[in-house]
Amino acid sequence: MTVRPTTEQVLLMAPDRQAAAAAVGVAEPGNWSAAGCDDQAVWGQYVASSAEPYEVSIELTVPAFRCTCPSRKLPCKHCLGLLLLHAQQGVQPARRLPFVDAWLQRRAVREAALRDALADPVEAPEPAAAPEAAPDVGVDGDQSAVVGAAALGATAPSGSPGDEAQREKRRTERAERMRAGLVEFDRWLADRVRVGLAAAELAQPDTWDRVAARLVDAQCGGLANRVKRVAARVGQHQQWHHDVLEELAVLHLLVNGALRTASLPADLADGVHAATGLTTLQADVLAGVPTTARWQVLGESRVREDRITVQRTWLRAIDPAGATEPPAPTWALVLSFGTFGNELQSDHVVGTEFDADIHWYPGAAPLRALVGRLHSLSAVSTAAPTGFSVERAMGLAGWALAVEPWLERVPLCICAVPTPLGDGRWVLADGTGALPVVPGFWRLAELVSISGGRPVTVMGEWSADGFQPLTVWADEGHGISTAVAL
Amino acid sequence: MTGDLATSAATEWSALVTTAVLGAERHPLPAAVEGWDRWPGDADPAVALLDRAAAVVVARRAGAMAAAPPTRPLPEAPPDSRPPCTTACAQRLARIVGGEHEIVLGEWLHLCDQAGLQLPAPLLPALLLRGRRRPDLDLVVRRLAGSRATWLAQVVPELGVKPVPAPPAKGVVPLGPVPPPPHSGAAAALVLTQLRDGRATWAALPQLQQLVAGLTPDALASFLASLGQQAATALTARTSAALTDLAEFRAEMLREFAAASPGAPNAATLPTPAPAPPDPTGDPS
Repeated sequence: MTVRPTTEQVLLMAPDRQAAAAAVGVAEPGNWSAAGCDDQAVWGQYVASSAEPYEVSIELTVPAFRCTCPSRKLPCKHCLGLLLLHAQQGVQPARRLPFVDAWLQRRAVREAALRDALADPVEAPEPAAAPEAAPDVGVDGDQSAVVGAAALGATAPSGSPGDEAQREKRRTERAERMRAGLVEFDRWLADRVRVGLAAAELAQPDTWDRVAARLVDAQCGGLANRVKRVAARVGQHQQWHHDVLEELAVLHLLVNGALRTASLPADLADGVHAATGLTTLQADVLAGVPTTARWQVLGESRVREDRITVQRTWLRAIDPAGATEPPAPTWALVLSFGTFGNELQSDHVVGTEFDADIHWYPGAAPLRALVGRLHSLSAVSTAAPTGFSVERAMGLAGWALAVEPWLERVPLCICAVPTPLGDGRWVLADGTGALPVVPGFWRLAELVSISGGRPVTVMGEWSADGFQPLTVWADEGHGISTAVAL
Repeated sequence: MTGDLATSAATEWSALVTTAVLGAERHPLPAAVEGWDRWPGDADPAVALLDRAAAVVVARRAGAMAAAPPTRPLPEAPPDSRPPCTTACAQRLARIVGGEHEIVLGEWLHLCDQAGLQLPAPLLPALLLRGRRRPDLDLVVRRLAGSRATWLAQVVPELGVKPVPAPPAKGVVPLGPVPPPPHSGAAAALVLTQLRDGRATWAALPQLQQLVAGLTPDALASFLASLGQQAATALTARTSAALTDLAEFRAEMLREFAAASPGAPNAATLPTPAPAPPDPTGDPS
């Protein structure tokens, strides 16, 4: 049986967003020669700018990747691009090329050896006999395996001393590269306030793109994306110096956390890793202990970044019946990615609920999660979720930010009245206080119309700019409320 | 964060921003404000600045208190005694406003009026905005929304809709259902014949749509039944599909309104797919 991943599954394998974005460009049939697939593998030669085409082979079932390009990304854009092309049915079945066959045979031999040794198959060492075995991870090797090991800091399974030393060397090299990148970035941050935010170079996109590119090289993709978002704030309004200094300070904090992860509590270290850009394999997340509950789909937001649409779906556990004092809500954030021509499809529709296992990515204030096993079909929710008072909701957001100060979004569900302050500024207000709505929120009239001047339940994302409403519950009478996406 | 702490944080922050804008190498970093001086200062003034800024940012974000409630609350919308529109009807209107079969918009509003239901609040802004360019639509929407439209236009000036519309120009007729053909049964038969003999090409679609949108509920039901029985020719396949879609859309809309108004005749025992709400055409011919 042929294994064909979906576009979304492929993009989720990407080590960071740059790789995913680059992969979209690579996934053009014209870039490939001798591309083919069979039941077990996909392969092709990527015609690059260099003289020799890169040889790409992917084993589908595992999946495992091999590419002869010098990139250090795991998997690299060529592997992802070929897999994307395959996901879009752009690769025709063909006879296996010799380089693919040789690689698959080596893998088979190695796996057999591993099985014999009863070793953990996750981190398969490259046999020393392999002709193109090189110390660099990116050149050859079981890349998906290395991602898992590096991201989780897993202790290496038993192997021959030589392999062990080589693995250790790779890990050290990678850690050194990150460390050097972080130190350089922190110096860059300090230089910005040393020279002054009024310096002309800050207004040039090049300045930011260069530093973002350096961070990508240092495998800090998460930081690179944040840097690009800070760049967009320069000159945004009169008070932009405040915004930019805030973001530079938070980045400085995050970098210093990342340079000291060894001395941080494990949860916090995981959160710092995730924010700087280390990815965790989906399989590893799904291997964790799940939380089983009934989940209500409360909101969805979509943002275009580079050439990729990122969709955030917010789930919240429904309070068990009979709870008098509503406990702090349990949130889960499911991310999905789409590209042009492969538009996103929502697995979870706002206003529905279902029973499922949720697996969180590691972190001190875990939000990002994967939906594991489903225990029921989705049903339309008839009741609005519990909305908190403004004061309580801000308290909850405050706790999350105190734990992970670099959080960019915190989900909130409140019950309040949209109220104008004048000058086009709006807040959501109740007796306990007021929460500013993000400036320029374009569905304001709908929100106000549904509210009719009375309190409504609103779910949205807190950010440093204000509250972005995503869903509001309209009263249908007879105790029934329907979710209206804003 | 409240009181003194908020004040001292603001003082500390403005000092930090001033130095950051001018540059720590030109403008000396002032000593920390009391309460914000607990961190050992870095030897490098730029790093010290970032350290201190991070402390203030985290304290302010995590410790943000809700601002005081506005002194002038939003006035409540005038009460509306009509029952709210059902979810099914509201979703139907959302699809129409979103561009599906806009030809039945007038009929939807008419049915809503007949059933005595409120206009769906989430769609009121979109209908009012559309009414700015269509006086005939605006007349109906304003009448159905009543004082709620005025209220919304007043409290959300950002919407750009006049609270009280200018009096309509002479000759503007409120948007209503598509007028029925003189004899619905004959019109349906004509469309079916044209589909069968290949004259109902894509070019003829607008006229045919006009006919189908105006059929009486009874004629619409029998038209749908006959459509299902006859195969379209290659020439009329697309037209046939488009007309079937429109007819089904209308039939579903009529069923939804029949279900939404329990007082309407036959609502409980309505046979599907035959729709029998109050006759939207008012004239069965």
